[in-house]
Amino acid sequence: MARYAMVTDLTRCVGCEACTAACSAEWDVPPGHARTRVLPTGPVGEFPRLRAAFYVAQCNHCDRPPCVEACPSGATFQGPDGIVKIDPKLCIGCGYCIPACPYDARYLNPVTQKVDKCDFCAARLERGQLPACVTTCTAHAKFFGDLEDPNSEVYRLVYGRGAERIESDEVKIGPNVYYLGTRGEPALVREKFAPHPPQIPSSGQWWERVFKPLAFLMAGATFLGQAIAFFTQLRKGESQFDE
Amino acid sequence: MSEQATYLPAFSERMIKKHHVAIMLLHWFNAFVWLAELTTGAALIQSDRFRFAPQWYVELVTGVFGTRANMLRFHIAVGLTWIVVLAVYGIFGWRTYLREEVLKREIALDRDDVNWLRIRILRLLGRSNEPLPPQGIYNAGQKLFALTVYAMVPLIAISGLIMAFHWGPASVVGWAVVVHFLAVAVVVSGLMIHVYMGAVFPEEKPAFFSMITGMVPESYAYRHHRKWWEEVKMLERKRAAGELEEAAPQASSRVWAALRAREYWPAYWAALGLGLTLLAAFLLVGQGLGASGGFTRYLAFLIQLVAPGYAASHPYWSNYVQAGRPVLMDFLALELIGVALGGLVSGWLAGRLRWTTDRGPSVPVRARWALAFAGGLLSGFGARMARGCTSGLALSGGATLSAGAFVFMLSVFAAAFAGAYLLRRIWL
Amino acid sequence: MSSRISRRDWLLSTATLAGASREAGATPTPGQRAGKPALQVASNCEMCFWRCGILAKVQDGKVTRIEGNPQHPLTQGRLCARGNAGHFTLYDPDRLKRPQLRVGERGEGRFREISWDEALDWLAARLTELKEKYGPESVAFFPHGVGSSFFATLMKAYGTPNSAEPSFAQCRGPRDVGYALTFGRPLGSPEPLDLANARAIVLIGSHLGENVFTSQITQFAEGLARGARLIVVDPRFSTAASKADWWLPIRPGTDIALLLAWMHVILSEGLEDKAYLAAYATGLDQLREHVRNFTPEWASRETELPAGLIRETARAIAAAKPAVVIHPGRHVTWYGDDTQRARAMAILTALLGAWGRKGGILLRTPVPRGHFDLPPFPEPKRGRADGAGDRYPLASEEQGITTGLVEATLTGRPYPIKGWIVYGQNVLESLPQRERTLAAIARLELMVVVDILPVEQTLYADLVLPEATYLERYDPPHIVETAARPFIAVRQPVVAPLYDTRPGWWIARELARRLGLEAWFPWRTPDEHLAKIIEPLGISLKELKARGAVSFEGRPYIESRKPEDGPLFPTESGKIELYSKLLKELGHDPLPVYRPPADPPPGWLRLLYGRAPVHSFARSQNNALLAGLMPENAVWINPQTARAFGLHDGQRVVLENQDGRKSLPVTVRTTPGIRPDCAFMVHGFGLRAPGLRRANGRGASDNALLSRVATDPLTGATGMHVNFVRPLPAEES
Repeated sequence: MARYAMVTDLTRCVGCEACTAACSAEWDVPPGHARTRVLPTGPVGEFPRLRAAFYVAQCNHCDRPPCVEACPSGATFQGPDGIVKIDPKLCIGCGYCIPACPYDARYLNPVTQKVDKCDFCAARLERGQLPACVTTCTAHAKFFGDLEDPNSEVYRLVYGRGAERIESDEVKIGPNVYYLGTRGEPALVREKFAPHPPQIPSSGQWWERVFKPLAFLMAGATFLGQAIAFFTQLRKGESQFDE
Repeated sequence: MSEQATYLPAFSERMIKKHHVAIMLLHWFNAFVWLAELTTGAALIQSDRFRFAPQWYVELVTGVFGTRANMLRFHIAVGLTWIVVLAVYGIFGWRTYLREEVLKREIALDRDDVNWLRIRILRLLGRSNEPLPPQGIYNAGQKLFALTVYAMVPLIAISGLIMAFHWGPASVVGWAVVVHFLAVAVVVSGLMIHVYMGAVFPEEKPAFFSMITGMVPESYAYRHHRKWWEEVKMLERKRAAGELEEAAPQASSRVWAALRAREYWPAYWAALGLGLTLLAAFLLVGQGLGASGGFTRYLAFLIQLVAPGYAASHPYWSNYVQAGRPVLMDFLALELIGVALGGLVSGWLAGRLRWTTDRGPSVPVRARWALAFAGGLLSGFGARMARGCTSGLALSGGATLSAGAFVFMLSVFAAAFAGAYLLRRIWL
Repeated sequence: MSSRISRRDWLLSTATLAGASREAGATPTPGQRAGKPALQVASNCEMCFWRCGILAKVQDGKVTRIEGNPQHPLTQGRLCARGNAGHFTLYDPDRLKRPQLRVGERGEGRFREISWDEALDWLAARLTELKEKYGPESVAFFPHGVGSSFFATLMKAYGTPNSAEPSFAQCRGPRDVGYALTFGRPLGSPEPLDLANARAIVLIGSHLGENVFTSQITQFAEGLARGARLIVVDPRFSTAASKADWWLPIRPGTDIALLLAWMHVILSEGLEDKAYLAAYATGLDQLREHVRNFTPEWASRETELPAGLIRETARAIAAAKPAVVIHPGRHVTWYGDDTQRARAMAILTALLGAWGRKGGILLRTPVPRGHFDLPPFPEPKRGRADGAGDRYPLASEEQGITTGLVEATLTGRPYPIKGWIVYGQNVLESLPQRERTLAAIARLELMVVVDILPVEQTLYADLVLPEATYLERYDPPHIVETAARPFIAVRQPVVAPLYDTRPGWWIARELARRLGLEAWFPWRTPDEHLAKIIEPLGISLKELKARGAVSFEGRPYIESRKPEDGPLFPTESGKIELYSKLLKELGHDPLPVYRPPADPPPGWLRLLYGRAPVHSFARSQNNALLAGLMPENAVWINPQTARAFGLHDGQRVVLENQDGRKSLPVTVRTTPGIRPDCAFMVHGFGLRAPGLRRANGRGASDNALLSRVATDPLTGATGMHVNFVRPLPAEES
């Protein structure tokens, strides 16, 4: 099976947002939301010694995706090709997965009321097309392929040219979107947009930490009570008035 | 215990009625729903963080349904049916079940009940030999469970609806998941005792069978529900003595009486009401009333259920089955349910509810059905040709001064006028 | 016979002749409704003037997606944000839907919807009336875009010479004139730059990246990836500057000083391409003499750039010769000396031997095209009213001077202008000094606007004609001679026009019929028109429409030229004219001379404006997808300046200019990426058009603050970087 990965060359990227527009048009992303975003670091430094880069952010299809375990309904899952997908039929829109993503790649679609994010254009891949952002990229800065195929472009860019992951000290979950840059762009991006530790909303925390143990406790206590009653009954024998 | 037995009145093995058939049906319907929903619900929570059923169980149940989506669909369908059935019981039976004295019998704990609970628990633990205080038709344990269920069922239903239909922002849905889970957990704790008592506990066997026959042996009633047994005996005595009078009709309000009038309303008043309903529909949902469009939706729903691929690719049906939008989440489709329910309520209020075939005196029942079917076929076909029927096109279209509506209406009257002569035998 | 083409015919011709490929068994995506399989129609984009190749996917008669056409020789399947969002303009609910006749006062916005027959009859009557009363020259035409050619024919046949588009006097006119003076040819569009093969790229004010022309970006990024050195001269830390090896935050208006100093370094150090200059150029000695004293140290005082940096960059540029692209820019009307600045850039290009060389400027390869035998156009009795070819001797008489026509309308000199026909142009947003434009409109007896959207100028029109968008109409083919491989690309309707809109060709031809000018429209269908144009190319109509574009062998380098390509340098001398005798004869500087710009007074900032990658001029702000990406602009201010004004990031301000003109409220963005003496904003926002429900009143309009211009004496082009503003805290209710 394949291990799909994307490489974005930040030296080439001019931040034109063609990827965002193509993606939004392809997937009916409502205005104000995005499956892939272009985030400028803005100029860093003192005039006139400035540096800047664009962070092309999207789902990283991580090796150890925290969103999958944050999803109570199993709507978010990882396929054998590494693509993390959302089954809209299962998504109930609880939003637990949104803060669970250290890269903020997820959003709640206000039209469908389901969570949505990049899936490497899985439907296009099935038709033999590349992801919409890759084909449209005006700067030819995006590369997509199978990281397990030594002949693929992404293999060459990751293992040959040393494309980097955007990780932080706290978050190392094996992202599969890599970044190239000859002018230190990945480091600048890491500085500005370091992934945050996965979180879940307070409702989910209460559920996980309090209510789930409480439910076990209640059921267990009841079961215990019944067991006692049962054995008491056995000891006493049946009442003579039972038919 | 044996001491008490000596003073027992002599019972014939007479059975006395405890449960109405509606209650028994509801009980077993509930039993099925809880079995189905708990089985699937436990398998629907899949993530390691929240899952409480083991992984093998999740996979097993998912396997039964083929896909997780099917399982969720089943869970929602059963849950919705449950809510609708409970709602119907609530609407039609509220005067029977939700009266104060009934509620008192079912959930209000009196001093005897509190004592009963205390002694019951102590006796279970072998710490007491006190006799149990007499109990009403439901004992304190049952009351306590009923109370829990009465409190939790609305929570389960509402949180379920929020999840199924995404009512509210993610934070609300996020809490709905938790509430759903917790409320079910509370009920399940009680349910375990309930099931144990009913199915395992030997003393309560008559209670179990009463849910099938509706009857309990008088001896069981005397022993377990003494206060109720006394009430039953009292009633029997009074009836025998002819003391019991039929309860006089309550001095309920005149409006109520008017609503329950057996006469039909004057047609002009009804027309005004219909007009106001139409206006309200435009104001509230932004579209007029209709009928055939709603039926078309139900048909689209059925076609999608049987042959989704066909429905999606069909030039006509694909207009109805669009990804991400349930076919039946449509005003006209829902309106039809309302029409049926409204008609039912109206007929019931006026005391006109009965099985009958409306027909002219000279036409046989079967012929009437066959002709009605044929007529329905024609009007359905015609309505789709005209893109509306007398409700959608003539009524709502007329209200918006659509030219098509008036052409249609004139055609309907003209055709009816011409056809009436030929078909008069059906009605005269 | 009815001259109208029915919608069904349109659809049929679209579906069958386009050779639309069917996507068999495509999985319906959430973006696409289930239903009939999709058709793909090849055409070219009109979200901007680059006209990239597109493939529009049509499902159930609706455009569901626009992607790049991989068969397009220039853009090769890539498409910018605007191109991807094209169908959001097609389905913009705010579009003009029916012809409208004004019933209220001008600007009031009260109209009566009328039929096309009524509209065209009315317009024909008014045009006939104006012709009789004031002569045909009294009607001026303001076109823009490829669809305007049918109207251009109509206006010439009607008898007026007065046609002007902002692409000359408000955009690239001085550049094309400057390069033509030097090399004998203008650059044209798309610019023939060999960016992918360049070893050094110099951008002077050009902000590629924020300014997106798809193929130019692709080649720019390719060049950078292959290791080209990048020098960016810009008062602002643009996207391009962030990629530069050297960023030169120059004092605005001093570019000629920098260019002269670069030439000084190159010539004094003998770094020029000597063989190339010897073979192809004249005037080197005069140039050498001219730049003798323009040392980096001199230029440093003017440009506020370190002399060492000027010297270092000059050497880096020279080291890469001849594979150097001195990007000529596009919107270059800045300071009124713009033709001379273009000259300086052209001369520098020549010194490096980059014209006609790999990695430099590509040569044009002619593409033959067929013509109908039209009757000769009537000779106007009076010459142009805008001064092109007269007061402004080097202004293009083909493109004209928009602001010159405004002037003539206002003053009635040299003769009165009484009618305007505006097609595809937005005179209130593209021409500076909007008060003058509005005053001119007030004097008109006839104002007609042909547009897609209810932009502000439609409020002032007597008649508004709703045109079909580029996805619903045929336009003349896009013939490009300035690419490495020249090509021809089609514009064909993808879907039938929505509402009661009509394609430009239909409007022009119907109007011609009513004016008795149908002899200039000797074709019945768009296909007939297209077939005639491609006649000499030896390609089939069917193939062209199926593929969208067909390219030919190019001869972009000097060594590949053939005799039929014409002279290499069609100047008077037949050589590259470093020293321009023509300018000398006209009484202007034969070699570029630096004149210091007026600096903003203390407490004022120079207003600079530019582009954003997701918007085109002022025409895409109402597009739902693009507005989602960028709903409004912000004003860039250096943190040091912000402190001085007591402003903070995110604050809302109103900009006031030296003449007391005020902008709508706009958000401050403090950034070290701009010189402290400048303010910058993206052009095209702050629109005042209630009909554009999404864009109306969002952000601020730079154009509303351009009340002062510096007119280029050679071309009449309006330099617009000469306005000063100060931010005032906004009082918002």
